[in-house]
Amino acid sequence: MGKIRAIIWLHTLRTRRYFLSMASGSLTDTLWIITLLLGFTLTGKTHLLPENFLGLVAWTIASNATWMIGGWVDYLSVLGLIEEHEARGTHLLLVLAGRVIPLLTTSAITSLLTLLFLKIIGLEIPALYPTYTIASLCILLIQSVEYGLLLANLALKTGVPGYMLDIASLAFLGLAIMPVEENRLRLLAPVPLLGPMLAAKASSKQPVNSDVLASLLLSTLLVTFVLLAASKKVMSDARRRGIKTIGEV
Amino acid sequence: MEVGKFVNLLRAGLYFETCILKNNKGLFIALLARPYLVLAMLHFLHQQLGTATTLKDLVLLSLTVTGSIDVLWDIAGRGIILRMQGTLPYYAVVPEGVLTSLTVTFIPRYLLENLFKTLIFLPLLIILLEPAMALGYVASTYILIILGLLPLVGLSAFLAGLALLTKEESPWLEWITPLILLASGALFPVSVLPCWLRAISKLLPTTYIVEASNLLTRALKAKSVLGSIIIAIALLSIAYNAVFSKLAKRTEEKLLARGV
Repeated sequence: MGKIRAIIWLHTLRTRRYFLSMASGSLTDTLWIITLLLGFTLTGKTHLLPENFLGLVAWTIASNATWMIGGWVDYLSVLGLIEEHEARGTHLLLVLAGRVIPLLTTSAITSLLTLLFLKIIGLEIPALYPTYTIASLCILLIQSVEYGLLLANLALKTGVPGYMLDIASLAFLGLAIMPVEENRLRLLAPVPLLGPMLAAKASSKQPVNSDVLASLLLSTLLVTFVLLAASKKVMSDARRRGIKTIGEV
Repeated sequence: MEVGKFVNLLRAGLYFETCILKNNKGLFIALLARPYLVLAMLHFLHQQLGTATTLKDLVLLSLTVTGSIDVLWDIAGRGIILRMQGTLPYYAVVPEGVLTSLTVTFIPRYLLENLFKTLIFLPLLIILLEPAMALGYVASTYILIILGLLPLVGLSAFLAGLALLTKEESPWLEWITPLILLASGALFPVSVLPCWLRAISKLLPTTYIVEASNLLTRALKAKSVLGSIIIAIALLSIAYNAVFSKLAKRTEEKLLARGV
């Protein structure tokens, strides 16, 4: 428990110290979201705003996890902190998972800034089914963190920076705009990251079906299993042969 | 600049780019996947907006978007990365100047990456069009992408100078990218934008590149269109580069006086 408290303390402190840098990243994300949402406003399709807003907020969670978790391992590596944590018996993945604190802070700032902008121009995003929205976003957050950790493992194993291994975050920017229909959601729900992203979008206009929720939970379990297996193998290799990450600031 | 020195810078840029791609297979795969991902985004966006844009039109749009917008960021971005790595002073002592070196060594990367990006669409275009027409379309698109670089050369050098002058990581470079996309009409037609944004869009060279790509898609069979586009972009390049190369030169003088 002491280790977890220390990790939370570490990431909270870093979040406070690097707040300006995070706010700058959030502003960039906000500008992208506003740019895309403006298309619906300018063409008079404001009824499409809520689902696309949620899709894009979900995208910020998935894409930020890539570089905030998967990419951060390079930073730890260049500072020589990977070996330091291992020597003190703190699992590296636990340290990396703590990055969920800045990840959530960034996505929260982005969402609030976008909502503020929409309010200023006289548009509201109603929350019709908040429970389903929150549930979908929570599942997405878990899967995103796991995906970030998987990229970190790959970076440790291959030496290729995590962000270069990532294709999903850009792919999902496109798919975050995808119109959600009942059948499409049911079909894509088992796809990790994309499933919860589309479920969050769908929750702007209808409750999410129980079979869709079950698919989301199953895919989360699958990703967890893959992550644990990959992590066990990578860490055991790393202890014997060392890590391959080159590291960059 | 002498032709020999210009060619040397191009060779240096080509060597740098081939080394990067050879040693980063993941980056190469991401490079090839990216145009399709941007295409998916534009497709879903236009599908929801209900515009009468075909997949073929969006192919060209996604290539011009990823090509021309990247130029503005990449040259300045590379300057920032070089500074973080501590190697920018080497560029500063190149006789041709830091901004010229950054810009000219970027050209091979632009040509090579865009060639790959264009060719990766060939299978899709063969499905959508006849093979001969698809080849013609790919060739016209690549010519347009090369032409699209010309008006942006001076502006990119100027932006790189500004980014290096402002120190730190220059986040404003990231902020302006979505705004340029919006104002250029790359995401939505310029006609739906408010008046003040339309006025800004007229000043941006990227607007004309997007317009040229729209023109090319509308009149693919009219070969004369390509000729008109070449003339229009050549004139545009002369005008933009005359203004921005002077500004870039002044920025470089300030930059060297302050230190890189």
